[in-house]
Amino acid sequence: MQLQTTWGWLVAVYLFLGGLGAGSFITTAALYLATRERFKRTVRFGAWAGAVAIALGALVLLADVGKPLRAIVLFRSFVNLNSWMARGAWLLFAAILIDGLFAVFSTELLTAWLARLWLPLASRRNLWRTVLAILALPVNLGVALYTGILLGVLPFRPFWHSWLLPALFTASALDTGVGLVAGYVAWREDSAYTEKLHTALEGTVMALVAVEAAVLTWFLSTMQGGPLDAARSAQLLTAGQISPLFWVGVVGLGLAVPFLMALSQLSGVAKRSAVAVPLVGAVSCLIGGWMLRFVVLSAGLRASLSSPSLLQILAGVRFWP
Amino acid sequence: MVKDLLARGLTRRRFLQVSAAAGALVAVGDRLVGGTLAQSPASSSNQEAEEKVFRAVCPSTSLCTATCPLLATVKDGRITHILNHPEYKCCVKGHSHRMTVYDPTRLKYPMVRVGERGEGKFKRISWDEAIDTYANKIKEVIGKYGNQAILWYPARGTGGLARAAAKQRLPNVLGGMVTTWGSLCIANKGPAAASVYGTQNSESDLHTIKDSNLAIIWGYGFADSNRRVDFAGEAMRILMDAKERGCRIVVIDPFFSQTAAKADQWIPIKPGTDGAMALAMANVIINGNLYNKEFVDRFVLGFDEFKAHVQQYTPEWAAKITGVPADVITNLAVEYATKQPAALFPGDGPSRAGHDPSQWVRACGALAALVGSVGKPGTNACSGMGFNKAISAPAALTAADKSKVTVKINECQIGDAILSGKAVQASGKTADVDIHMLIGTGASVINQAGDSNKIVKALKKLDYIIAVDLFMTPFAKYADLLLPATTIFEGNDCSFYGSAGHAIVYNEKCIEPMYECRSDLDIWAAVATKLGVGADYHADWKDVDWMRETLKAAAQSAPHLADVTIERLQKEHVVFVGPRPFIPFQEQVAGSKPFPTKSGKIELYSKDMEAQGLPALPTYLDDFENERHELAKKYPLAICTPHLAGWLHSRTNNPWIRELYPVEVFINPADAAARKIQSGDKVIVFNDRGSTQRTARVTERVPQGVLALPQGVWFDPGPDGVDRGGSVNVLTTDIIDRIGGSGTYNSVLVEIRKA
Amino acid sequence: MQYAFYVETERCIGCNTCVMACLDWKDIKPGQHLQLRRVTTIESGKCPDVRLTNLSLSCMHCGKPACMAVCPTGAISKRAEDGIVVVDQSKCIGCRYCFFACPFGVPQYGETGTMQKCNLCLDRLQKGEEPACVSACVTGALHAGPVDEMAKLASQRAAARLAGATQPSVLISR
Repeated sequence: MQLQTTWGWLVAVYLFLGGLGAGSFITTAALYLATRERFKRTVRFGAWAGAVAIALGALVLLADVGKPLRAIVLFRSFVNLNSWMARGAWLLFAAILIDGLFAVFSTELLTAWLARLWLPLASRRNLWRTVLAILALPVNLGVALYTGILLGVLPFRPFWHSWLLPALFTASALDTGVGLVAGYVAWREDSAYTEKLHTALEGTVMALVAVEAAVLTWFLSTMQGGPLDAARSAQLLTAGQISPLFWVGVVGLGLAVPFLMALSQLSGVAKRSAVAVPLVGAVSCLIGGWMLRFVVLSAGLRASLSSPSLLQILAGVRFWP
Repeated sequence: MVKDLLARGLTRRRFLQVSAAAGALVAVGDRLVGGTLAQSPASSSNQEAEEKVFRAVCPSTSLCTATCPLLATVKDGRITHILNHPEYKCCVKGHSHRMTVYDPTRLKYPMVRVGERGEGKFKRISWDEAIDTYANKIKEVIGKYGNQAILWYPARGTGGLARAAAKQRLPNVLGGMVTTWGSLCIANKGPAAASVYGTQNSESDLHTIKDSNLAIIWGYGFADSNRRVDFAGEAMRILMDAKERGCRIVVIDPFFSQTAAKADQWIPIKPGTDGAMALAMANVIINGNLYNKEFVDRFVLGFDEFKAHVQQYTPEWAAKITGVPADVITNLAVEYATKQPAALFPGDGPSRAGHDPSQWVRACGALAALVGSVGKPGTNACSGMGFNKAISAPAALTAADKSKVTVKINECQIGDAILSGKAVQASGKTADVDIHMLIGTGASVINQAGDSNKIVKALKKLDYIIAVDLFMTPFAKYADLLLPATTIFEGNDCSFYGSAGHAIVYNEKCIEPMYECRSDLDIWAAVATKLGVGADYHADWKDVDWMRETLKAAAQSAPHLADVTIERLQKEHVVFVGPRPFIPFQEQVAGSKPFPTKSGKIELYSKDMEAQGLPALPTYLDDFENERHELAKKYPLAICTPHLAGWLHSRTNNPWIRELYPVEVFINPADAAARKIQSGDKVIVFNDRGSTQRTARVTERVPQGVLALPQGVWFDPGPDGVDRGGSVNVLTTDIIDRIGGSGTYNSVLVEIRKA
Repeated sequence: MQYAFYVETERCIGCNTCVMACLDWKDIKPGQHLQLRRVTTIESGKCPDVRLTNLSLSCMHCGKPACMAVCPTGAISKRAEDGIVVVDQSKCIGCRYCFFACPFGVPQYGETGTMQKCNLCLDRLQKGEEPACVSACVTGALHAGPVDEMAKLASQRAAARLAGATQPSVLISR
């Protein structure tokens, strides 16, 4: 069976980065709103991670389209707002702006510069950051959801055609986002309250992985029990051509390893000071996130041309227009 | 470092400057994009350039034997479109020919070999040098070894009316050279039919099927070739229309072709065994008393001998050999006999399969005679070349009388003749030959003749090889002197009759010769002049002159051509001749004329054949390589080599065609499973003569024990000897039919494995 | 007046003449593996009771084109006068979303990166000529014209309009 390749690994990277960036930023914004200046480094990292990931994703997307110089002129090229592609482009744009500005305001050096341009920019930075963080939540959530909705609204790709797909992608987005931030916290955060944050984040990772696993199971069993084309696609993941990537990459690296790494830290099995464990968990989680997008894209086969109506015609069943 | 850079001074002013610049960049980008946004594609081209339409004929003609007229639109000296004539279609190949003309791999200038022969390494030379070399080599070889040391081989690439006489005249005015007899393909069908009916012209137009109750299409691939028709699609339209009107269509073929797909019944048969089935049908018809007694008494000679002869050919016996169940054979025979008018058309596939497949053609002719399926609407007697043979160049123009060379080489056995020094003649006798030079014009030489590896060996042995072609074909690679030819669009020409024989179509010159290409006529004229026989050869005649004179001369022996002048062709583009539909022997069965045999009757028993040492009665001869042989233990599969709609032998190898047609071998699921082969696998088909690589396609379209390898792709041997191009003739033999001297490709044993 | 194709599959011999005529008319450079019309041969049955169905399809010029709905740039539009779905080459950004929306996999992307598909030979129609594929079909299996006319032609056989949520403007007969 031929896999879907028109949207290939580049698009998978884009969807992943979009999700990762959104998830990182939501985590960061929430952290900021809850703890303010307590975790300066993490907030700065998470903000930049979010902004850069989404911006990078957008660049990857541009690299993939046929006419990147045309696409970059958003107000010319993304005008049909009924299309989720267009909506997504604007969401990306808004997210990059908001996330980027917040990141700038979270960086002392840059904020100092801005002060030279216009003092209120710097002196009110916390106000700006609060406003931006609040705005960022729905916008980034929109980005995470949109990566799944983009595929989910296509009725003739049965494997994608479900609200469970954006649910899955969003779960993964949050999962990878929290995982990335958690890895950073273990590695670099120097606040007095790092321990507490670390515990909270690792706990969140475990919860999110569990949620993602549940949604994934729900999604695959729905597809398995659905129309023939959807079931075939699901089979590709669980037992077919891409099952190695799915089981090792998505389930192993994306779910099992992060879960176990987090568990080992929370349960005390891993040494408190062992940075490697959360980092391995984070990296593994990210790889798994990318793999998820890739296998879902690859299995997105079109509803076969032998639609019931066509087959009936060809079999000679007479019916009137 | 970045920190410093940032710290150095992003003042507000600087910031504004930068952002302004960025904004300008975006605006410029927009303008770049906007430049194309504003215009719609149509308005950006110059509509003023004039477009002219030229009336042409498909370059495939002279090989595919249909004569589809084409319209070439030309703008600024370049063909922009090739369209079918509004009334007469052309096929996929016709529509692809713009890509033949403008294929960037076309030969562009004269070249001489620089590497090893066959390496394909050449260096460019001037035309003067090329003509000098061409002429001097001829002089040299004739001087050293005589005229009979040169094999002059203008093949199907030199088809067309303009060259018909010229290509024979040039060697003749030089005293003659060795030429070929027989053919790679159907040269056996006419003589086989003639042995029964007295004339090679024994086949009805396909249009007669409109009056048939039953049409047996025995090994003709009408959907994938344009045989027996003037224009593309005619044959299938006739079949499908007849089927709708209640005619039953039966297709007998080892391969479930697109033709078979339109039939009511497909009878898969093992390649090379068709004679067995035909004779078994005769057995059924005679023993069941289903033959037309009155017709046989009146018009047939040798019935008693034939009856005794076919007793051995029972349906049960035939079933074992052909793989066709005995009851299927019996039922078809009964139906053919009792549902007259019914038409049995013996096709081209079986006539190239087996041991002397002409025997099968004779058997088919006998079947028609038994049931009186001759000379009436809805019937077909046997085989032939259509209403009339192609306008073969009249002797007056070819200067045949000036040739002193009598020995010929069979077209299928060029390799063997060069290597062994012996050549079978049309008479059946073997003559000595000593070929030192080969001049191949528009000739495939390697690709389409049997046993490619033998031919390659032979080519390596020759002293000198001249090749004239459009592309670097497998043969062109072996040239010492390689010259670039023009396509039909780059000169004036006219098609021979199509294989229905009714249409003659003119071709206007549409564009100037491309690159430094020259027409064959120009090359021959220059060589003739160089050799001092310019006047004798008519070096001053242009293509139109050759055509005019050939038509005039042909009309002398074919009076119906009298009003077909070059002027009329230039005016009308498509001219029709002959009665339509042509059904031979109408006068004979009406009793007003005898059959053109010696006896005046249809001869089931042929004294002529007997005198030549061949079977007097149509006889089944077991194939040289078949499943009952020792060889089958090593090579258990038989091949057949059908046409694909896009592949006209080796001629249509252009980029568009290559994209549309994968090089596949069709294999039955049982055979595939036994060898763990799946569709899409790279596989090697091989036997003792060679190996060729293709992609497998597992399908029910071939019976177990048979592989179908559509033919025409180019021979491309790799360093390991395996043909990477997928050509089929590395597997075949150069055995010819004793009647007519045609090739027998469809009867070899092979094995297949994953690559 | 919606234009439609009518494909008589039982008269189609799978020869690809329609495909090639389109390649020539549209001047499609080889190497892109672009075919604006494609013929698929579907095999069924077991030897010797085998059946081939040849299906020649290009763009369906749907009544409710899914491609148009998802195109972010608005490059795809449906003409009011004849229902032909056209792509503005100057607007398309080559995102390939239309490929995923189309139930028939019609959109293709050549070396320009932008979407290529059949436009029912609009330029020929405007001169009163049939599309290149229709004009070239050697067995007369392909037809194009106003959907009413096609329905009338098709009524002579067991034919029906291809069903689908996007309302493809194609009639197929067995």
